[in-house]
Amino acid sequence: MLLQSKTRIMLKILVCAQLLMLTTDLCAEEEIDPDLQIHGFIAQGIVKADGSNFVNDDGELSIELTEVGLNGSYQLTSSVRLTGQVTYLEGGNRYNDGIRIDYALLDWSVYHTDNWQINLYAGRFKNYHWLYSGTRNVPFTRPSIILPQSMYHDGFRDTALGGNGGDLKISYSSDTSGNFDFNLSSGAIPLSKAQTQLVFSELALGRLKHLDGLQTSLYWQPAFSSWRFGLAFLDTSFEYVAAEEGDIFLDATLKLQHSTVNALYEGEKWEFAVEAFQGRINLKGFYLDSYHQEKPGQGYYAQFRYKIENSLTLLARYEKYYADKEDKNGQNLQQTTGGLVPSYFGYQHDITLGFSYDIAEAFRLQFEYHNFEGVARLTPVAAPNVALNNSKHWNLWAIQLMYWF
Amino acid sequence: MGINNASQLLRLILSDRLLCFFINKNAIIKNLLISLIISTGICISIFISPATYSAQIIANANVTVLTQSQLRRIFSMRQRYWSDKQKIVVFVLPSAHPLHQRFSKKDLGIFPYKLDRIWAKLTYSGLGTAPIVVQSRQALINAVMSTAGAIGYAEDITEMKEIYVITIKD
Repeated sequence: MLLQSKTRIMLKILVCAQLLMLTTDLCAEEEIDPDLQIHGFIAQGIVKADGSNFVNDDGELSIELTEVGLNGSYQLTSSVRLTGQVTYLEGGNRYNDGIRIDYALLDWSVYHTDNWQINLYAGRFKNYHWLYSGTRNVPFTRPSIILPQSMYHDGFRDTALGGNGGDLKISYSSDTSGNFDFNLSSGAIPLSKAQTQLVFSELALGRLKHLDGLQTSLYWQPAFSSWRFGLAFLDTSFEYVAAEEGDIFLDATLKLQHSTVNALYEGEKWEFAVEAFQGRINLKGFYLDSYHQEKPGQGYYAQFRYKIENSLTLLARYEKYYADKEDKNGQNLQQTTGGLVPSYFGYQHDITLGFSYDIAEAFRLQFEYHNFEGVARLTPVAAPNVALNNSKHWNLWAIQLMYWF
Repeated sequence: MGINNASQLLRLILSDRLLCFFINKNAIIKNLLISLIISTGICISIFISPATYSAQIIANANVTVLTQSQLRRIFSMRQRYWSDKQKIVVFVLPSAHPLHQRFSKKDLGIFPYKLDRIWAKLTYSGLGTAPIVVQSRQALINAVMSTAGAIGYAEDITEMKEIYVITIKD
């Protein structure tokens, strides 16, 4: 175990060194090729969650807070571009570790004028619809190390990240009415056995398949305004195919619907963001052939950031999440499970305080402290560990150093 | 005598007061005139002089005039092609560079950190590309000169054969 940990640390150092060498090479390059762009990021942190298995089962200090990415973009013709990003992530119990293709796209600029820009993207696209979803695994673009779990549930991270298919983006810019951005994407993401077990626990021997997903959003920024407003809608369905032997679960279908509203204010010193959602989870089968459960979930957060100076930003966030908005205190959950699942598994509220400090250009240190009440956003999503999460109140702190180029 | 003295004294006092009044009146009128001239000058300078920009916009494209809105669209990567369908290549200095800071705040009216966020979102999500960052003012001018369709900014540059200094209309 210790050897494995040391090997992992050595591997991380090696990857970081390689990326830094690549950066140096890129910076040393004098010739500018406007058609080719290469960028990347490296981040390593430490995290500790007291009173829950959000990060790890033993609650000890963890270095499983690694995010590395490398992307490239090449302009094939004046209107067609090829782009892709590979990431390596480690997040403990939050999501599956390993290398993955984050996005791989053929970008076709279909129509463009001074005011209109229409693009079609084909391949593996990302979820461009929520405030931080497009770059949720890029540390320096996030307001915090751990994003608000009501909206950005790490347990569903891979399924919410994007899909294989197509995306249409229409942007309109007007001097009088402002900027409009419309996005429509459709596709599905292949899920591994490990990702299946992150949702349904290790007892699930079958495979979860993402059948289809449709997402759309509309953003509006009034002309010359610091405000931006958005609406987003998601409709997606999954199928669980039980293993032929030894699987205690049965075939099932899972449908998710998710409506979101958000607002963002970015002033010179102050920033304010609010995002609220209402969702519906519909599960048929799985436990029994006749089993049918429908839960209307609800959540929101309000986030403030203040720039003391250009390099130092403070963060404060207040968040509420209810797994079932008709059972906000979780009493019904506790009763229907005969007391096996405590009521605090029905919600998860969070107060976050933190700061980020830019040590140098493209080099940042971020710290945050979370105080949680409830454990409704843990993994495995469908069967969280009741024995390990025996506390209604728990907290987490994390510190992460990040570099990008 | 007494009466005469008294009348003389009264005349003297009155003439002094009158003199003071005239002296003060002149001073007041003088001050008013000076204030009027200065404020008129300020007003004239505000209304007549052209808008001042902190940077000169330079381009290697067939364009000589842009509106401030167009400039914002180009540097926030919302307009990616010139009117003649040529791809726009945007060059900038590092975010912390004083000229970039001034250009971003004064000429674009966008806080530099917001530009950084817009560009990072494009670059790291696959939706688009960010401007190309060069390390010095001269490198920026050279990059614009040598790249077809390029746009950037500079200070104290005179018009050259390979480059257009663009006029910004409000």
